Amino acid sequence: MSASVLGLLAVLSLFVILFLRIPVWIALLICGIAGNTILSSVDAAASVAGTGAFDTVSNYGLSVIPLFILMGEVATNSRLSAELFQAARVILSGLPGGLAVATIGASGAFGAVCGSSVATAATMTRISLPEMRKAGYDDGLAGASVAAGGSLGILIPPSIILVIYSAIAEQPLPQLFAAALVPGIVLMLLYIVVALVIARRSAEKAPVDPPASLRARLFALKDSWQFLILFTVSIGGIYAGVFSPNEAAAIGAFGAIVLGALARRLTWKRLYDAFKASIITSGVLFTIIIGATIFANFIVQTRLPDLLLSGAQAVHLAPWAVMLMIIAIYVVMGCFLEGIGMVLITVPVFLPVIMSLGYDPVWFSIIVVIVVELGLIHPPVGMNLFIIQAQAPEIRIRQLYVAILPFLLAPFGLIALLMLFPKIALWLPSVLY
Amino acid sequence: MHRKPPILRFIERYFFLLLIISIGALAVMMAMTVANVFMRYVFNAPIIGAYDLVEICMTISVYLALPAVILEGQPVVIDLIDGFLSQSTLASLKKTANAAAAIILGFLLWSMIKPAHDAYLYGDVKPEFGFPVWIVWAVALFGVFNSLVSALAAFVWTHATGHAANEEDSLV
Repeated sequence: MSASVLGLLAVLSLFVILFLRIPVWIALLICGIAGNTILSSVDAAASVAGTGAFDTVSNYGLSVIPLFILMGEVATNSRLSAELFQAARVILSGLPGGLAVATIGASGAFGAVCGSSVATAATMTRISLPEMRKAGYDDGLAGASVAAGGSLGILIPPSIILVIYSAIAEQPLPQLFAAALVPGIVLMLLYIVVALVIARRSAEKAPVDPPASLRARLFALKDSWQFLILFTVSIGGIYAGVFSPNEAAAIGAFGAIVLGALARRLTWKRLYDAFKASIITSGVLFTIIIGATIFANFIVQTRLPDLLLSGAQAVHLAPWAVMLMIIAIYVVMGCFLEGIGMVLITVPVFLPVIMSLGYDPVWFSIIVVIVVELGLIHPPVGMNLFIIQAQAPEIRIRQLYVAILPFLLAPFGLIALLMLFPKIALWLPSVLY
Repeated sequence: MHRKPPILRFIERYFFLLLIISIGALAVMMAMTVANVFMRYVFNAPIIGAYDLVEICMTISVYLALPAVILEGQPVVIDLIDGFLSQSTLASLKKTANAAAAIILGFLLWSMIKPAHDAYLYGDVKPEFGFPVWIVWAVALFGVFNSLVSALAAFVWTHATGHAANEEDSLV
């Protein structure tokens, strides 16, 4: 059996093991260790596993993960999102669908200090969903706005997925963060367009809020100063080259604690909860990264990506057709795989193929994040939809499935735009770096 | 509702203590990075050893949190088939997953001993402030050993460990 075929078998076995409810990181380790043992020896497999498990966790570059998670958890626990939503609500009052637009806008803004879609969706469900329902919004539209807005959390920097992609694809994180900003804003605008069109076409689904005065709108703007400070200092600091991503993450987390304490919204209990949640999430993430590192080491040795590339060349597939196939695979996998696990399993296999076809790895990172986002909101799974339903059980999941469908046009539209105009992602990195 | 045996309650408290140390390490990591930036920009005197300390704290923070993560059943699982299985089949699959975790963690522990011993033998030190690397390896081994205990506990008391599915099942 050739090494490439062994690699292919390992990938297939991985999926079987995953479906049998073996935790993702253990499944990756089983396949990586078994594969390396067959390919080389038990000693070689042990050497890769032992040093890989240690080096991954003591890698300074990855300290950005727990620190950005901490920043997001502190921002969540200090209820920063509530002020963002109230500010957006007042500013957009009088606009048909204004509350849905405010939800999407506040989610995008909160995503700029949070980095997690699930946390953004969970937070906005608590804050904006009751307000929309109180205002007479259709349950489906209200839930879908929260789900779609929440998914912006992983595209708009800081994005935990991009941090992990940066580590496994060996791409500079500041460039990835720069590449994600414009597509993140474009996606937010596309979601807003969808919400506005729905509100215009079915006015009964989105009653209009009474318009606030200009003075009230200007006054509302000042409520978002804490968010502006956090985003400008942390992410702006990376773009300006003042801080490394690790330093920006630490300063962002520290800043969120100081701002939360000054505003008396962050109690000791909430601070402890934020730290605990950060530690647990980081622990889970690092286990998967350890597993993926060892699995990727095996996949690289099997030269499986070369087999896939030669297969594509043998059937004379154009690069864009291969790219579309990869996107289709991601969309299907997004139906049942957890986002980060999906990225860690697939990027070592797909990235060499993508690069051989002449695509930019920084551009590809944005495509990967968008398809992961899609997985969070498209039926039949859609983690964001489940989170909303778990917190508002009176809204039926079927209602959410139907209501989210028009919003799916936005990420698909963005993928099409990125395929046609890669500069949407690559322009800002080229200007900054 | 299954009543937890006293030994499991003791193990949980012990892992909770490790979790508190882990939280402390994360706080030090953040404070050290902020202090380093402050010293660099304000006094043009970055803290020597700040990078090393962050790496050490990260090792402590991740490896000491791992036992609690495993015992509480937090690792990400693809639970698509849950709706199609009986409770007893599901319980068997959970037990199998815990057994697999214990075996893999046992292998990981064994495979980490040699490089840790090598680090001790050759006197490897951290580049900035000369901290012996074998001590960091010892922390990692301690964490993996406790994770192994955790996986075994989860295997023995499958019904009494784990958590209900919630938003933390997804990491993004």
